[in-house]
Amino acid sequence: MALTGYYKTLMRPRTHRPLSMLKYDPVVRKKVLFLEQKRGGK
Amino acid sequence: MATMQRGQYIKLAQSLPPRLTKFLARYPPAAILPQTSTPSNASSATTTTTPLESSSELPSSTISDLPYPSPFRATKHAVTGKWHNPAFSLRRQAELVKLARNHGVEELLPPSVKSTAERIRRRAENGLRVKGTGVGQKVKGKESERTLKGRLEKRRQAMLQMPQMVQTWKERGHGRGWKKWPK
Repeated sequence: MALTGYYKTLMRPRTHRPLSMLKYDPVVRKKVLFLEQKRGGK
Repeated sequence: MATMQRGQYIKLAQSLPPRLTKFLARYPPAAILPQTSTPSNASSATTTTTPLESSSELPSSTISDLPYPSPFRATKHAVTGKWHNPAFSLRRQAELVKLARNHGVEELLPPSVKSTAERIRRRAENGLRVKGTGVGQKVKGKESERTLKGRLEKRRQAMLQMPQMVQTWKERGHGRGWKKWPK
């Protein structure tokens, strides 16, 4: 969510809650919060 | 003074390569031309080649002084209206100008697009080969280049809010209670 355009593609069960994790972003060279984007649900 | 100048010019002519002296003999500069002959020649020139038009936008004041059409410009024929190529091609002009420059007599040649002053003027106008470096030039650029500033600012704001966001995320069960999912 650092709005750098960098993203990760992951697989998860369809019924699982949306993924969110702290991951390294090489653009800003920091660990930032990644939130699942495709299933922007509630 | 004229005699002294004449002596100087003779000395100069002896030191110049034959190609330059031949050219200067054929097309003498206005400074060397005798004052008495200039008006009559000029009048005859005006009668023969009155609508002589220059193809470039060089200052034409020096041209009008000369009794002959500039050998470095294309000329329009007075009767037929056809354009005639300059007596010296651009390649030969460049060679003459280079030769004259090396001998320090470039100002004796008629104005040419290959002259140093003209080259400097063009360089200032057009800038470097890189587009957009000339006077008053602008480059549109690619969309990514045009929007770069705004995107960097957005990213900066997002990174400023990141610690607070991570804190909230951790407090809400590492995403279990997260409500603000991006679209």
